[in-house]
Amino acid sequence: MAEYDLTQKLIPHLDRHLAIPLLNHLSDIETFPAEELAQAQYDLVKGTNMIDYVRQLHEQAKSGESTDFAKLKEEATAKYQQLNEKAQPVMKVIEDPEAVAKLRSGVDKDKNLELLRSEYNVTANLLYHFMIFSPSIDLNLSAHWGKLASNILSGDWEAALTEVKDLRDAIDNPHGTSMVKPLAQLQARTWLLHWSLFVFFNLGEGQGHQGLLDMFLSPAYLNTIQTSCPHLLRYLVAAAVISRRAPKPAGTRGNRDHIKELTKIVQMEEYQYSDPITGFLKDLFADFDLDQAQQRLSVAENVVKSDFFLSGFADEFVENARWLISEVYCRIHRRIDIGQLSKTLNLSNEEGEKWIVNLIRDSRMGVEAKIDLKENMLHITRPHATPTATLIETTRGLAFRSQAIQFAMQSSAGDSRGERGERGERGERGGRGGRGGRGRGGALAREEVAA
Amino acid sequence: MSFFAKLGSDDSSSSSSGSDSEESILSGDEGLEQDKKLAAKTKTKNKASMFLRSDAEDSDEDDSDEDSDEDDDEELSDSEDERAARGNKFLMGADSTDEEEEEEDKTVVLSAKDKRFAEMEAAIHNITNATRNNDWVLASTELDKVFRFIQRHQVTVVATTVSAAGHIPPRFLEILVSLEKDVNETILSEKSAKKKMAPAKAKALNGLKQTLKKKQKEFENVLKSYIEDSEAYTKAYEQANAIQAPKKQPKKVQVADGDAGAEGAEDQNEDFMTIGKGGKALNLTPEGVFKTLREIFEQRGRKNTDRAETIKILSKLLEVSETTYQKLRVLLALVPARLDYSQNLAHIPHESWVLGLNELHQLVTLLLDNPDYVVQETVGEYDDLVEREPQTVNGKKERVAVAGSLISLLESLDNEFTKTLQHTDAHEKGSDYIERLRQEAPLYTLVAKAQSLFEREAATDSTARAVMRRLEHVYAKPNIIIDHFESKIPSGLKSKIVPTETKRNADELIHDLCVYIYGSDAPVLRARAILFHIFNHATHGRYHQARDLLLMSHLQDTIQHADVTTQILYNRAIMQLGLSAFKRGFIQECQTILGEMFGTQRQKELLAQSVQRYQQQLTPEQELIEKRRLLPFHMHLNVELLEAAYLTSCMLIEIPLLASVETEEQKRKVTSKVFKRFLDLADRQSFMGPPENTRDHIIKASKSLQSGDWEKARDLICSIKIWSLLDNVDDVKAILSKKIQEEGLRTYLFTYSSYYQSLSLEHLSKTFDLPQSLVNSIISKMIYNDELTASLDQIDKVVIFHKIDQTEVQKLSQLLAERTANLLDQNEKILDLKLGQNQNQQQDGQRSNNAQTTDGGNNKQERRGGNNNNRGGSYRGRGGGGRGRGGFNAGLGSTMGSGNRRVAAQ
Repeated sequence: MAEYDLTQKLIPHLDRHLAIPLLNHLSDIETFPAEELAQAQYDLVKGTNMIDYVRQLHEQAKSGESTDFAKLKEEATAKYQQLNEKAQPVMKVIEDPEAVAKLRSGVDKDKNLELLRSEYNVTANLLYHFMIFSPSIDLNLSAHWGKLASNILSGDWEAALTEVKDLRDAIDNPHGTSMVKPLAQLQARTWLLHWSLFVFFNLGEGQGHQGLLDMFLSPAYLNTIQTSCPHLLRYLVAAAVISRRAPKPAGTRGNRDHIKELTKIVQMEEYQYSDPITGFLKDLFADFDLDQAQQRLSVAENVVKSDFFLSGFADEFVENARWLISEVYCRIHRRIDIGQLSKTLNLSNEEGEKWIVNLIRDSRMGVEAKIDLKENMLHITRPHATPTATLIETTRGLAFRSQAIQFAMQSSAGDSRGERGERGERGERGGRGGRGGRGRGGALAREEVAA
Repeated sequence: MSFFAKLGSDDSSSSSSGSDSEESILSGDEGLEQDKKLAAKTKTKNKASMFLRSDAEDSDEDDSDEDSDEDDDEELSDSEDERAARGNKFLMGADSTDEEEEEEDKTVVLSAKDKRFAEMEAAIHNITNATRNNDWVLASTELDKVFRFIQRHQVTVVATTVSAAGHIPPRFLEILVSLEKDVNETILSEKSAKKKMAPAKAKALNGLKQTLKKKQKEFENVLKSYIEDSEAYTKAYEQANAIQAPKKQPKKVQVADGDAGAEGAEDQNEDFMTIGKGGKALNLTPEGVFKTLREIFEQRGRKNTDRAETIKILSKLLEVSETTYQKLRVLLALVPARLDYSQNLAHIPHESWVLGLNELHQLVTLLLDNPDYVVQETVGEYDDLVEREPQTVNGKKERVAVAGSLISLLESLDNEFTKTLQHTDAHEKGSDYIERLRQEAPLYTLVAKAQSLFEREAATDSTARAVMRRLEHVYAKPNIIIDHFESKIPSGLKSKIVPTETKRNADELIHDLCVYIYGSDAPVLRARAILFHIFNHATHGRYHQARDLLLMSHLQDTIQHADVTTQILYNRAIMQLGLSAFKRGFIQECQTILGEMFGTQRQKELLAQSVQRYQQQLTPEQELIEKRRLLPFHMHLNVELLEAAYLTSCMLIEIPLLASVETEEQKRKVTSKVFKRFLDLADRQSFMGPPENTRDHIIKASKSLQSGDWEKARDLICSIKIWSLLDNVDDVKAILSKKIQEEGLRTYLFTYSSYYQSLSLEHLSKTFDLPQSLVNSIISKMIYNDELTASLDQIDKVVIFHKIDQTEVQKLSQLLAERTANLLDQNEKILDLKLGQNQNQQQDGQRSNNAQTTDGGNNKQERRGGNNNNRGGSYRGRGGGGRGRGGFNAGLGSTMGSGNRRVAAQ
């Protein structure tokens, strides 16, 4: 599975601290040699002030370089103390809302330090206060990033979600900030996309995936994915597949659209990035090669299981993927060998039967299907529209819609009549009724049409 | 004695007296001078190669001596006189600070004098010839000329202080004497002869006799002394005129002091005869370089300066100049002089261009080797007559800055190169063309060197421009040629953009160069660089990179506002992109990309490969501009190949599509117009012969495909010869035949499904020679996308069709229903519009009546705009896959079209 691991691609776009859990995860699933991972972890945290953690890793990594950790720790603690003292007035200010953030710089350093000490909760709090007081937009932005990171690390997903939204606003409407430059904007979007993975995949059921789809599929972010980080397509596809059957919030588009759109994008970006998950989608919806799709699915299952973000959703993913396959199957075929279908779905014969029954029971399929146990096959009868039926279908609603138009016209005519009265009065007062008069003529004409 | 040279001089002198007499009247002495130059030019032209010849003269004195030995005496004196005159001119100009007017006057007189002398010599020569041939008519006209000359000569000579002995040239007297003798003899012999002379001749002879008598009286004294002792006279004459010879040195000093008195004038007056070879040494010494240069600068742009002469002088100056500074100055004058050489001619002669290239190369190398000298466009004031050297001030070496613009020299040299190629017919003069093209490698080396120089000088603007030039030379070339170019560049060249130490291949080179331009701040250059990059990617089959680059650049939105050259480049890049899509087998994309271009009839024009011929007439100026824009032949894209790619893509897409739709109306809607037109044309033909050209092949293949005969279609397509121009022919053919199989299957299913209840998959797979799984997936796709009303039976391995035939009534009623639905849609749209406006009215009405109307208008426009967008977006809706990425490319095709149109309009 090592070749499908994305960690290396993800880390450059993540905060040092956010990368730590990723590496920990890797060492848990043991895809890579432990020594290499330990070394990587050590390299990662080397520059931070989390001395204890560093020392622990250092021992693990057994790297040759020796560092005087005691001294380092001393220094760090001293620095912390010092900064803490400096920040003391500011802390008071925070407690005393009357004061103004004159000592902004103090807070700024504070932020850094707090982050370094990895007391994420406290940091989030501090940064919140900082944002309230700080007049500088750019600094505020970095404070936002900081707060998002802290929220993620302390597991406060709801707060993190609002933070993501705030950041998105700030990035998309760059008024006078450093974000005005397209390159900076692209960079920021890339970061946001990566960071938000933490949020979306940890947010409660359904909501997270829907949010991810909404955000990632919006044109600006889709472009960003295509331009700078096509590997994120994996998460996009996974989210789309997983939320396939999730109850749709009112007013959103159906998932079918997502899938279709994604298939197109996956095909387009194939030359840049492909993995079993995106490949599955392509096999299924672009090539309609069901056998291939089934093979891919079994690989994809493993990939999903070992992925840091997706590991929690492996079962859902597989279930929904099966659903997609069988849907396509039923749509195309008239008679299906149950044994074959079960094989395609990676299920035993009996399981397959159960699965099919469930499938039939779910009326959303829109297919009349019957199991013939003697022949061990599935009959699907799809009602084919007769010419009359299609004719009826085309003309359905015509009358209703015409009526709606009529109502609309009537109501608008009524409005304008009412308004006309008003305006007439005003016209008398203000001495300019000309336009009102013309409007009246128009309204009359329309009424005649309506009649 | 060279006969041709002689002939030339004869021709010219007669023509100069004849046709150009008007001019000589107008401009007096100057006119004469010009005539002389003309004569000189025609003379040289008669020789095999004027440039070789002039070079020889330039480079070696001995050479010129040899030449003159070959020619007759007259020519010798002729050319030397000219040279002397030249020398005088420069000197005169150089000291023309004080008494400018006067001096200027004399300058003209003096130089004219020399010319006249030469003319006289020629005339006398003619007379001797004529008398020998008994051609008295000619003799008398020539004699008139001589007299006219001597009259003028006297007038001018008397004004100077040459002693009386030096007034009348002995040659003149000699001819007088000899002519008289001849005339008398002829008349005597005439009397005794039986046969009379032709009346015209006799008359001329008599007239001659009369004039001779008259003139003899006029010059009685001088003539007497000459007849008495001709040698003594000649000696005296020469002495009188040769006084200035020993005075050479002092005169130079005088001139340098700017003290040009009567004496100086006198000296120059006597210059012409004796200056001989010494005249060159006078001017073309290392010390005289700056003076000569200044002289040339002053002459530049004046009406009658002889550019060829200027170049000659300058190249001589280059030989004699010793210091770096001198060389710089001379080179900076020489290269532009070469480039200016012929403004009337379409391009400068190739040989001359090569020399210019070498000289610029010399200049750049000189600057590279001498970091203490720098050529800048703006420099501090300095005296251009003084030699300068880098000086050390406060321990820091001050660099010597010379005024000049290297980059513009480089660019005009490059432009001249393009011009040369433009004006060489690659078909008829192929070897010439290739000969010239060969010079591209040295030119490229020069550009690279210059770029390195600019980098050293930190001249950002110039560097960017040089890099652009470099890119222009490589972007459309195959890698092997680029590698060849690169190998020519000396390895020691320092450059940050493309360090020579590291080995790179051609792609990396282009990438590096482009990336440098992206970092520069000139948007035009950036746009062009990105187009170069796209073109290069596309040429080498990197379709995706090229496409992404194009989409990311957003050039398709702004290309309408770019200059024409950039638009042409854009069109070229797009075409190349389409071709690369085709090569990679992205048929859909290829059709979309190329479609816009082939919708017009003017591909060649839009690609700047020929001038517009039809439709509106161009004014000559416009045509000239267009012609200048044309690309040299080796840069051309093969339009026929592009068309073949486009039509083949059309075939693969449109044929199944045509088969899938039923009604005539739908058919009209869907297809690409160009392809449809060809197809209809073929339909109308009662008999179709064997295919002759590419288009025939494709149309015939389409026909076979329509009837399900995919093998024939494949054979026809693969037998198209032009594919051999693609670098991966076999791959392309393999892809094409696979596509033809697939599309053949689809077409077959569309066309014949209504005749079958079911079809065995195995049978299909056998018929179309496709693996069964592929057949399966193709059919699955068609069913899933509702293109085919059928379903698969997994157990029997058959496809079952559910198609229900509609009766005529059903069809019509269905049509009616659809139309009604459309009508309703339209109504709803209109109502939306009205209501929207109305709502606006209601809101705005509260505020102001004026705002209301404008707001309504805006609203309408917005909607209309929205509709347009929709149309653009859904343009060829089924081709979703080919449209590039979602919101990324708002209509690649349509914007490209406007770009095209724009070019055409201009």
